[in-house]
Amino acid sequence: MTESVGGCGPDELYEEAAANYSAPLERLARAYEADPEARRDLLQEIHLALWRSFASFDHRCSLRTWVYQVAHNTAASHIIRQRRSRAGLVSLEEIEAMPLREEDRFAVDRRTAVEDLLRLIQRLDPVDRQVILSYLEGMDATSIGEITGLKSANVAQKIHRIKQILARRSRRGGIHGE
Amino acid sequence: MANELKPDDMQDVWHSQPADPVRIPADELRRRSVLCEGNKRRAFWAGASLSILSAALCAWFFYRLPYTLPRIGLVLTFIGEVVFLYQWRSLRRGAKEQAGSTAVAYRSQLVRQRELVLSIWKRFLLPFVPGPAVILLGFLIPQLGVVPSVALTSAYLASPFAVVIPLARSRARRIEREIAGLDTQIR
Repeated sequence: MTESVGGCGPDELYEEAAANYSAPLERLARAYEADPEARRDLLQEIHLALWRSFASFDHRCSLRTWVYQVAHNTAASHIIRQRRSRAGLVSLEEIEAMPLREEDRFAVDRRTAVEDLLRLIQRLDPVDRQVILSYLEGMDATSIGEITGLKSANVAQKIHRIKQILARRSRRGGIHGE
Repeated sequence: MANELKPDDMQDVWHSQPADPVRIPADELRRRSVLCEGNKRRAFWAGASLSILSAALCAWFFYRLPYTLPRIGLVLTFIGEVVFLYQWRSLRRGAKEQAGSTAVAYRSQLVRQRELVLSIWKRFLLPFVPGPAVILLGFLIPQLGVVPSVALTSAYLASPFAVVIPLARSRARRIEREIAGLDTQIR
């Protein structure tokens, strides 16, 4: 491993990233892999990719952007490798256009709502999944655009769509009300 | 509607997940990285050993077979196998983006996958055509004559292509649509 630009070595950068982003990375892995065993492997793969990537970290973007980019790219490769499960993935537009079924609605209690939300996210194609995850982590459109490389207008449109989908699924009696 | 979850609440819901954060010591990561490199080296040597074994097998048959055409076929089969292994190795070496915009990285992976799907018959099937074709012809011609032997051999060897090429094209079209969709969204 070579010393990265900026005086901080890969080990130190990794330590800093792990200290600040371990929990978000775990949530990210959960959104990409439903199986607990495979999720653990994916999470370890993300950490390894992250540590390796810091050899070329040049501080042109923030540590947060770098961490999310590496994590999403590693997780997207994981999805691409599972071709069979990828075939059934849909976009936000398709989700929005689908008729809402009773079982699609989020539960009111938080614990079950998380599971419902994860089920929704795990159906999305990688790019839309990256946007919704960044939104749920509390990032603004600019940060999401920086991580994904999508046009600002597209990010704004996707966030608007995400909010609509979430609202529709959260609303009590939403099925009858639509 | 007091207990209704609003879209903005979903961010809180998302953050409320029980966390068991993973932190792997740098030394452990270094060890795993070395292990990964070791696995790649082992895969290379497995391929090389397979080639050596196959070369030995071809050489044995080469001296056992009394006919010229099957002998030429054996040599061509071995060459085909070397080409196959080379293609496999160059595929595994393909660049893997770690950092960089995620949509762009995903697009590159799709492009790579489309190229692979479209070239699968050229890379992995075609190298195995000349050798078996010559071997089959070598055995069939003395029994059936030239024309029926060529027809039978062609039909036999063309059948995998007839299945693989249309399937690959259909898959490539699906990937192409996904790439086109991304192109309208990427900066």
